[in-house]
Amino acid sequence: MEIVIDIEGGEPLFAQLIAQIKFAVSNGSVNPGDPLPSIRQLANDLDINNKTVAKAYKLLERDSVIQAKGYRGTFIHPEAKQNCDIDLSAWAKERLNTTITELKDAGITDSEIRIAFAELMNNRD
Amino acid sequence: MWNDNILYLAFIVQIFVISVYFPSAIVSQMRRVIEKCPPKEFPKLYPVSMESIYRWIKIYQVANYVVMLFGFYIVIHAAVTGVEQMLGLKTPLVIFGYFMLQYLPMLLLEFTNVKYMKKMREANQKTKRKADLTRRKLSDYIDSKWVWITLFSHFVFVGVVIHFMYNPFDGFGGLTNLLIVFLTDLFFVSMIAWRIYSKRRDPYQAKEDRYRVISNIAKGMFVTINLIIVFVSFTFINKAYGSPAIKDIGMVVYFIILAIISLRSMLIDVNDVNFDVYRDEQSKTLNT
Repeated sequence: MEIVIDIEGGEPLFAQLIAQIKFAVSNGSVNPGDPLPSIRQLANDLDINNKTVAKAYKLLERDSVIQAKGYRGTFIHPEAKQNCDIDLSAWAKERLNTTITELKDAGITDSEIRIAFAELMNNRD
Repeated sequence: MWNDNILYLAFIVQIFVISVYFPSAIVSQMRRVIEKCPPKEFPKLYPVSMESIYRWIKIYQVANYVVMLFGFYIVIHAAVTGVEQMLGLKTPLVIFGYFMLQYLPMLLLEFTNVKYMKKMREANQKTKRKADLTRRKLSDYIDSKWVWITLFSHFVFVGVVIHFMYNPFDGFGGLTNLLIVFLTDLFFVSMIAWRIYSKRRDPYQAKEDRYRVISNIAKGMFVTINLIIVFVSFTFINKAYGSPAIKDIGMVVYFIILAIISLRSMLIDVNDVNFDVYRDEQSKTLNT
C-alpha cells in the first residue's frame, strides 16, 4: 500500500498522513495487526520532518487506529476499522460550535470568546 | 622464486581486475545509459550538463590509469631489482596500500555520485511524495541463509581464536581479534541499516530498482563480512603453520575476490532498470 502526500497542498502534512492511513485501514489495504513503518522510515521516505510523522502517529494512537508496542514498533489496532470512523476533531468542532452559539445567544462578543478561549488554553497545565 | 612469480602474477591480476576491468565496465555502463536515455527525452536523469558528466568520466578514467601504471611500476621494480620486499618496504603493507590506492578512484566516483544525487533532489519539482506503508526489514533484502552462514563463520572464528589463545604465535592479539571482528560487523550492519532506512538518494528511482540496489549491497556486505573472517582465520593459521610468501599471495587473492564482490554490485543490466521515471512529463504522456 502506497501513501501519497502533497507538500504544497492546503491541508497540513500530519493531517494528510492521518487521512491516508485511515483510508488504507478503511479500504482493507492494511489489516489489524499489520506492522507500520517506523517514524524515521516514513519521514525519510516522504522527505519530511520526523516530528510530523510522530504527530500523526500520536493522534492515530489516541484514536485507537494504531497501537505502539514499544521496541517492537507500531501496528494497526485490532479495532482500527471501527475507530477510523470516529473523528475526534469533528466532534470537538461540533461541541465548540454548540458552546459558541450558546455564548453568542447570551450576548457575549466574538473577541470576548476568543480572549476567554485563549486564556483557558494558555492556563492549562 | 616460484612463490615470487605467483605473487607477481596475482598482483598483476589485482591491478587488472580493480584498475582496468571494473573501471572500464563501469564507464561503458555509463555510456550505455547515456545512449539509451538521451538527455532530451530523460532530462530528470541529468541534473548537470553533459560536459560535466563527460569530464567526471575522464577524471575517473585518468585516475584509474595512473593507479594502474603505478601498480605495474611496483611489479617491474620488484622483478628487476629482485628485492625481497616490494618497493623495499614490507610486501603486505605495499599490497594493502596499493589496494587502498586502487579504491581511491572509486571513492572519487562515489563522492561525485553523492553530489549528483543531491543535484537531482534539488531539481525535483514534484510536490507529491510517495511512501510504502509497510515496514522494511533486513529479511526483505537478504536470504536468511546468509545470516546463518555468517553466524556459522563467526562460531568457527571464535573456535580459531580460542585455539590460538592456547597455542599462541608471535604477535597474536588474543581476544582483541574478536573485538575487531565485532566492530567490523557493527560497521557493516550499520551501513546496511543506513541504506535500508535512509532517505532516498535518487528521488525518482522506481521502487523495484531501489529494492534491487539495496539487496545487492546487503548481499555484498554479508559476503564481505564472511570473507574477512575467512581471511583473518587463514592469516592466523598461515602465520602459525605456513610460510610468509603464501600469506602475501593469499592477501592478493583475498583483495581480488573482495573487489569482485564489491564492484560487481555497481554493475547493473541497463535493460532491467526502469528509466521511464526519468522521462519528462510530456514524453511520458506521449508514451502512454
